[in-house]
Amino acid sequence: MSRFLASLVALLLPVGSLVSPLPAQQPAGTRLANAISAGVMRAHLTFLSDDALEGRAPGTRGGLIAGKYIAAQFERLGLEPAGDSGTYYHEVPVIALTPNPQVTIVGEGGETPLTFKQDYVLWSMKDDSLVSVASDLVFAGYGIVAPEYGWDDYKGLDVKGKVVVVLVNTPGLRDSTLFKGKILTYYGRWTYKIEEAERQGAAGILMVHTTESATYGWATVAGSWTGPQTRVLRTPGSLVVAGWLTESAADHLLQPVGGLAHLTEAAGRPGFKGIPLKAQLGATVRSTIRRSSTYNVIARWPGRGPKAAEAVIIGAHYDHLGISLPVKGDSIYNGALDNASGTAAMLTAAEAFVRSGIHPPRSIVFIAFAAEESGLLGSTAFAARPTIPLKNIAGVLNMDVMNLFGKTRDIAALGLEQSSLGKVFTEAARQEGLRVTINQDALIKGSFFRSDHFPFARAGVPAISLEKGLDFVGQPAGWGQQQEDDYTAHRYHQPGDELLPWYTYDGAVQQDRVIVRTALAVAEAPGQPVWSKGSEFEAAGRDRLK
Amino acid sequence: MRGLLLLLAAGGVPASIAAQRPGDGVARAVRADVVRGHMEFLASDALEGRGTGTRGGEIAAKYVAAQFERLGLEPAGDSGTWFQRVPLTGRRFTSSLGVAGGPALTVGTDFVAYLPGSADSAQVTADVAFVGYGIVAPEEGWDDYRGVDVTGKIVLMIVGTPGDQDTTLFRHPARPDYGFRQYKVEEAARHGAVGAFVVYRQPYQASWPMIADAWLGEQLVLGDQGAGESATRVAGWINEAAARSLVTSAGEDLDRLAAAAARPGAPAVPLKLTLAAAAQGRTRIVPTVNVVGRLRGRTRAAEAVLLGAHYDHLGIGRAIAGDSIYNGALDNASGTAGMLAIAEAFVTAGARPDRSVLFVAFGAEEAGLLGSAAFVARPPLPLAQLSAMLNLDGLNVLADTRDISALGADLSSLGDVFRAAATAEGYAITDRNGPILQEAVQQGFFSRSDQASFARAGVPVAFLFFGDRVGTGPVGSGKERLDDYLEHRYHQPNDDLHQSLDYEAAAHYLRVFARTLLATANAPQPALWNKDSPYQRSH
Repeated sequence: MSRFLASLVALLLPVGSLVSPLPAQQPAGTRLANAISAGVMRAHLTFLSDDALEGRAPGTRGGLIAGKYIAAQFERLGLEPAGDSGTYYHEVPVIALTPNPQVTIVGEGGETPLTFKQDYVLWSMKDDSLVSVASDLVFAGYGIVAPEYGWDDYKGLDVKGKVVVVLVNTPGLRDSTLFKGKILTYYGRWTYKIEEAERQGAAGILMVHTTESATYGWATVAGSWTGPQTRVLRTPGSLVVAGWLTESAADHLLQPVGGLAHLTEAAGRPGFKGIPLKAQLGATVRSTIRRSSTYNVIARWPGRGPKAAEAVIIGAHYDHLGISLPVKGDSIYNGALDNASGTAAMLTAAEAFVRSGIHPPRSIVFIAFAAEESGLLGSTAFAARPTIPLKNIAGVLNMDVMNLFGKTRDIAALGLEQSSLGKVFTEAARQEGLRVTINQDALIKGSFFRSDHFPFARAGVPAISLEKGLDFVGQPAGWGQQQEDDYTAHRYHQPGDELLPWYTYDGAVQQDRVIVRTALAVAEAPGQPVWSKGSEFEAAGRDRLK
Repeated sequence: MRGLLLLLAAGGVPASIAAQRPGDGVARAVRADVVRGHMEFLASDALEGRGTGTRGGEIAAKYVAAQFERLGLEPAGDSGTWFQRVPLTGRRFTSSLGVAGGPALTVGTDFVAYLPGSADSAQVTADVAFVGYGIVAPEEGWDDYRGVDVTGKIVLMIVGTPGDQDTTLFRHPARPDYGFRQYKVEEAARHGAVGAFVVYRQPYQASWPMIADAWLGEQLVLGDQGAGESATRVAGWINEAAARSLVTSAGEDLDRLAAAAARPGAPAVPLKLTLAAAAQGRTRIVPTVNVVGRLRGRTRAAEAVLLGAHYDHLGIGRAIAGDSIYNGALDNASGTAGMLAIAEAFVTAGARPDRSVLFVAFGAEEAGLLGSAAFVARPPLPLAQLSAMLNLDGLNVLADTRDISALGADLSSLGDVFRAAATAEGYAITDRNGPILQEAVQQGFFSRSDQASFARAGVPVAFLFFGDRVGTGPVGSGKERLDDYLEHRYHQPNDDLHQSLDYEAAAHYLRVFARTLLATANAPQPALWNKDSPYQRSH
């Protein structure tokens, strides 16, 4: 364009745009970040957290309306449908089983009946209303196979058709030189224990509860695994039952081979060998079953060029807890922060790509995940049946609970150390004038394993989940943590998680700017992000690309 | 700068820039997928038919507010919010009717009755006078009450206008509502009748079951206090067969009376008939709102042009073919989506006209234009500052036409603006004597949507309407398409997203209104009624 013509075009443009340099002269990342609008975010958040949405529980009217709202926004924005068969919707088939188990341990000294909830919990891993096992029990230490740490609790142990008894957490809990010390790797999570037992062909698994290793008390176990167990419908594996034993029930069971304390110590030493117990588990689980479907909502902003089939995912779960027990006369669990805020930020990011008109080489895929609160079901279903091949997903940026407390000088995310996404994120933050804070507490608690980016990580796709900074502009040190603690204590998963008058969008806009910059950088990079050396997901990452 | 542009155009500037006219920017920014996205939300089963005072209606209003907020409009409802309260009272009636001392008619089958005033109950027994069409139209030289005193009587009249029998009559009546019950009952009240019953017969745009269903359900009226005073204490509809036997029992013949009623100068006929009518009402407050957003004007922000569309529909009702959700996809998710698409086009094109633009989603239209009536009764800006009202109700999402029309535009200076906008989009102007506009007159479409409230309040209006020729089809193909909708889907559960919808056609239609809106907002003068228009500004 000639300079003359350019000045003519400038004359024709609306007056407002002449105040700043012509947008086309700014780098793409800046234009994109500048297109993040607080007003857009506020509008979506206000609607999604309104009482009229009734807490957006999966399978309820409010949940349905939230999904439709997101699809309407995708369509309005002109994004391509990227769900099932040309629609924005991706089906998440769900099964909920409410278990009623009976368990007996048959040992050399005879039968020991155990009491449900008091001594153990147990649920069916099959989709049947009646299942039973009668199998030998095997103690398999921590139940871990981790080649990068040279660790294999199943080495030389045949557990096919048997019931394994395992410890949760990792040997790092007691010996900081092992694994990542107190920092929880995925090998420590109960979900991993079940997955590994199934890979080994076991028929059942009993996990030993201690408050230290689980990081929560028995009351939490008894409360969480006795009502409906909701999971994505899957192709069943070898496991028939899974459950937890109390510390004392486990100690009793393990007495003939030295007791729990002794075996915990032994299992924490490299080279530990599993021990067949001279006992059998006799278990029957009757379940009442309810099947249903919920939906992820998915759209694509197409990339330009040969890498357009690859994608960067920006995701956020849109479900919350619905209508439940009233607290102070309010029974609507609005989930304004958790996670109307992340959904609004995801939609705002989508709008920023459209408004700025930037099409990087890789596509950007926006996903509103369903049924996160029921156990990451939407993201799990997507990873199991992706609408984009996993090898084509360069990375996942998840947003779960935005910062509505105010402007910060720092920012954080879970999983930065796990893959090269961390570097990209850190650079994007630097461009926004933010330093990156590592939340040590989140690493110990294993927060990385508790939001929707995680099923992707488990499937080998580099993934991070956005967190808020804690160094608030204009606030004394510690104020951020205080707000965070106040939210956790008084509003988290309660009807009080509503849009409060004092919330501001400055902080969330900062976060969303970093997210779109990160997405753009990943979408523009020559290669896909890679897992860090020694990450527990490195092997899955290699498998994904095969 | 205009001179410079002309110079440049002669020097070979690319056509896209040379062709730039005011309105091109906003017209181009109207996108079909925006209409589709909004419509698929608003017309989905999840919105439960957007009934007034229901959860679906509330969600629709909040959806519109979220879109206004997202677009960066200013809230222009009550006290800095997006919402203007529409105070509604809901009334349900139980009633009886029969020859005094004789057998009772069957409610629902033979008649429906209500209380036109705010009284909780009324009972009248009075002699009956047949007053033809019950119309007093000075401009037509027509007075069905000439020479008869109906004070204290019950009047019986037939629905419609003499134009239904003699097409030379009432072709361009000053009041388009002469054919409707509401006008007829109000006229009866002005003449002191204590009871007023309209005889239902064809031609009329609603079937008897539709009328009976509507009156057996809840009636909504504007105002916290209810309907106000009326000399007519009981009013209603009588089905043709029941009316015929009543008239026969009085020694007359309904068909002969009806035929005579279309003759100019036909006198009213006192009947040897005494009717007893009674009705009781139960009342509750029904909450609903209009949603109002403003794009602030550049130089005359205190003045405004309004683009409106009602967002309500009929909610959940009687099931037809197993479907009880009255989605109202065309009526009027389409208009609401269209209004939002034009708002989005103004914002994305960066259009900031001289006057402000008010975007309004009206509530409670289906209950009798109540949201718009509430708006003009308590407008957020003085109506004298409101240059014009453009309305979208039943946007053409069916099929694009070669010509286009806007009801009411020809009554004011909006006619010229609309024609220029239509021409810029390649449309011919629909012939006012052609089939679709003749149908509009017959069916009284002008008085059946929210523009009527504004016209009555003196604000020039235009209601975007259909054309005569669909695609390459003949004149009349437009009417055929509309009649198919009116006959098979209008106010039925299948006015939903399963019908064939053409969003590109909708966007093309909307571009005409986007241009009309922009030009009206930028015009040096506010829109003006023509001198001979029945509506005028009331200063």
